[in-house]
Amino acid sequence: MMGWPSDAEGAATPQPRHDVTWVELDGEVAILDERTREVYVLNTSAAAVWMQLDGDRTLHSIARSLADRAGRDETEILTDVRGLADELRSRGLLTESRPHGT
Amino acid sequence: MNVPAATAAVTGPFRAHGHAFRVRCDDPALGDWIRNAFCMLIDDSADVVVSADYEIRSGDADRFSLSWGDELLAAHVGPGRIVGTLAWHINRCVVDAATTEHVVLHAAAASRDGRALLLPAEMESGKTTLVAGLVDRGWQYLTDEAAAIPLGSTIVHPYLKPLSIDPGSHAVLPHWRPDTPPGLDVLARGQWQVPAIARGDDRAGGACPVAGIVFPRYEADAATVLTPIGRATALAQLATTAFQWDAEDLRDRFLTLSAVVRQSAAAELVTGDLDDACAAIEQWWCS
Repeated sequence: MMGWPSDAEGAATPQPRHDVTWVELDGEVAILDERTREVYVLNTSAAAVWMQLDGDRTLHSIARSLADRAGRDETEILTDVRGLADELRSRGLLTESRPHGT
Repeated sequence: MNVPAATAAVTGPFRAHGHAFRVRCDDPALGDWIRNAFCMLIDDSADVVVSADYEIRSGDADRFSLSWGDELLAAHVGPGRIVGTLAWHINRCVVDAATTEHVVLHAAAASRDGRALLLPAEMESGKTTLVAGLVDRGWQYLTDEAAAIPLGSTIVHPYLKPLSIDPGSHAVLPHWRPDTPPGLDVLARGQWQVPAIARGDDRAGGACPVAGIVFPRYEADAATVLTPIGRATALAQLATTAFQWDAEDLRDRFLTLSAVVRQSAAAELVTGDLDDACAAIEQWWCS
């Protein structure tokens, strides 16, 4: 699966597309894609990532915060975060904000 | 509720969610039967504006035709088909009328103690049978087909159509069998159309907040299993049962449903037995 154009160092800063609406419910997230009218559900782990995808945070910083919180290896978490972001992007739910640091 | 005897071939007006209509029938027995079946939709208030009349005309050999305004809906069919087509068309118009200002779910609904339970599901999932079973247990009937929630609200509004009970459920609901006049016994052989008040004058519910959502699925001979599910999953499933999930205000509809699930418990139900299903729902409802 293709990664983010600026994600060689986990520096991508994706965010939900403007035509995506989401709600948090008991730690999970339900996402409405207004273009396809489909509703997706993210479990609590994926939701924890989704809720930090604000167009400012990099995937790297998100992985770091989750690793700190869970007491897990940051590199391992970054792999999961990037995989999730790629999956969400392939479904058209994410768009990339500006590359980090530019 | 006492239903006054029909004195003319025109019955009604009936109204549900902005769809107001009358029924003209040149067969007095069939006209009376229809008026009684749909009696919970009768609305005599002064502000009713009827958009058109259904007209049923008798022909040869107990055959009838059905029109809606200038539109011919059925021709040269028996009374069972006439009533079934009438019920289908009313449902369609009610849903169309309601969806402009409501999220309308393909769901049965009943209430108890001022709180509503939604039973969203596709056709043939046992919605009507299940809601009939709950009414037998003292729940108040809200609908067996279309649950309407105003945009921005969490209140479900009743659509008190007659319960449409398929032949496959007649054996478990024999006490719901409608009375039929001589010559119209065919109306007790196909799909039954029965008003909930046939089971008691107090069985009609009013608008009330949603507190529970159960997604039922009937499977012959299956053991009854009720499994609680998360609210996000419930929201995604609920969306699949919404009529006109392609409206321009889809975001508002999604947020309305999210508010509904936020204040509700939710579960999936697989069952092959009506009594067990009702018992499982009541136990879960009270927990």
